[in-house]
Amino acid sequence: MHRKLNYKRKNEMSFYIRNTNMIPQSILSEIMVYLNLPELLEVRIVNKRFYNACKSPFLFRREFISMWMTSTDTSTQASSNWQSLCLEGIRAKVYWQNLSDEIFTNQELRILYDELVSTLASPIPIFPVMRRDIFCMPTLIQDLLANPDDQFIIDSELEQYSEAIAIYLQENSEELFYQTHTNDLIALRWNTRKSNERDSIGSESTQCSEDFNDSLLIVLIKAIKKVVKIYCKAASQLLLESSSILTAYANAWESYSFAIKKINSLFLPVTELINEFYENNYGNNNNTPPRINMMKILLSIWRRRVFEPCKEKILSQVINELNQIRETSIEKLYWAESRRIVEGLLDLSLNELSVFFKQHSLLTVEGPYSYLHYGVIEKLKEFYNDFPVVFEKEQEILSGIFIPATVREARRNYCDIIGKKFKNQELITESLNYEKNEDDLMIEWTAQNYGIPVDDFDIFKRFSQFKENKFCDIVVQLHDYNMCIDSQA
Amino acid sequence: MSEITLVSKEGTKIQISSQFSNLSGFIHNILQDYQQNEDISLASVSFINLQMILEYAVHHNFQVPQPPRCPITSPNIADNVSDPWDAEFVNRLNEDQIIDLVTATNFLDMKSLMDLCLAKIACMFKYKDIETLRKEYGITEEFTAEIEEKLKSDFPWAMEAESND
Repeated sequence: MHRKLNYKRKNEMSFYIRNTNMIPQSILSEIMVYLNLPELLEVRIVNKRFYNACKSPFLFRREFISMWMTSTDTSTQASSNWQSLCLEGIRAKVYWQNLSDEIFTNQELRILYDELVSTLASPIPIFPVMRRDIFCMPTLIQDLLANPDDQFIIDSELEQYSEAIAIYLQENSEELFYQTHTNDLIALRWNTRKSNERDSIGSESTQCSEDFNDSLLIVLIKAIKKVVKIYCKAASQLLLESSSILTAYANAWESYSFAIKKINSLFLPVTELINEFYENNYGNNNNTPPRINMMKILLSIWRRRVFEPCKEKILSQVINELNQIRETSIEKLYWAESRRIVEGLLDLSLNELSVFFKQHSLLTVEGPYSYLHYGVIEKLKEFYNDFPVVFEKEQEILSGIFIPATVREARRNYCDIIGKKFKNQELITESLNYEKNEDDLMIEWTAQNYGIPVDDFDIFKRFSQFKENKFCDIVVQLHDYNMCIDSQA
Repeated sequence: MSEITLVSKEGTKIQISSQFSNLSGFIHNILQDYQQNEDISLASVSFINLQMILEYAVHHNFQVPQPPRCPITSPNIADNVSDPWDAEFVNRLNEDQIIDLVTATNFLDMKSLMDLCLAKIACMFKYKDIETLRKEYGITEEFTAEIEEKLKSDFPWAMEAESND
């Protein structure tokens, strides 16, 4: 239904603009700046001049940001996508309002929606400013990944909501279990696991089924994802319009990572109930799909909706910054935004096990970080070919920004390129050097702590059944290395 | 340099403090190469408008005042500006004057006063439905019935969602 604006004029206006054609089009557009979204949508239907005056993407960007985001909004360009983003945002809000009220009341749904949106817009920082400024490690996400129990800590401020939801769910749990279609749950769970990357963060298959499920919990998860997806889409649009994408991305990611923790806690009773129900029905053996993890779902959405559209621009800006540091002063390294970008991309690329081996030179580079890794390595190859440099300085720069695996790869390329160029056999040999270093020993030590003998292939094979792929890769790599050394001996 | 001479399009001269450049981007740029006693011709600004502009500038002591609320929250301009004098100033202008003043401030690159005028016009549009706007401003429909219906049905939930707030 089209809303009739209910306007009761208290005082007769002193004048009317009898003929709006007197107003130039550009000024008419400026007038529209003073109207809000519902008014813009109403006024644009008046005639074609009004319609054109109302379609400025700047207006829709401002309205979207005011309702769903926090941003200074200073960029001078705005995409026409903002109008459709506004539309999607409003649609998501109405979706929430129309969720079933059998378990949650409309008011509770409203509280949840407002909490979700305000958390995305301006989450409470979890790290103090000082700790964030000095580029702390591990980051919040890496911290959570490596300590999964932390994900289930409920902030005291959220208790009132979480508790209320938990009580409702508890009271209605029997009915809920009975009403929840098993097939729907299987579909949902399957969707969270069917990718080969099930153990990696940011699996690309966390979408709900297209079929509309009638289980409220599943619909609720879908509703949460709907809002987060729109937010992420808008965030990527803002980043693409930003003049300094590195700073903007790093800030947006930091804010989102705080939001992830809070949203994870906020909806914990919901995800836990689904998980519990599923485990009760399907047991807890090796074939059981992984638990629904809100944190991983949110990371996945960010990866697809924000990182993917922005990755080319990010890579090009990182390479620019590298060149700037190399050409000007190495002191700039300590202020490099690329460092924050690397940490952010590692958040999206590491899993519970590989987070421990982040500083290892043999870490298998995967996920979004690999895009940056290979992009930079390719660019460096060209650079080393055209401008032979002293690698010690180069290494200092690279080590200050990237993880050891990238620095190691760059060094190997450097040795290979320069060795061939100057027919230096020593450098060529070094480019093939896989010798163990202290980090390799550390992996062995950790593997042994897990009870895995590094020289027993059968045990490795058995270990691989646990599907701890990343860790297993590293250990198998070590094993292959040992075999290789043994055969040489 | 303490005073500058502005010349309206009718040729009338007005003396004003050079601080006027704080409010006008056009005058600010002119003063970069200004020689004393030189007249500054404002070919697009009438004497009446120039007087009003100067009245506004003097009231605000040649400093940029706080801008009107954006988006506006009420159809009454007084609710959208921090200085009640601004509302009184703009309320006493008739329709021709306000359009003229917008054009003059646009020429002078005088954002603060232009914003005030634009906000005043926006107040006229606020809370009015399509038919009222068309009737009051003598606008004949340009969209076909089908297109208009489509535009209305594009965002039906927009109106409902916001009205529930």
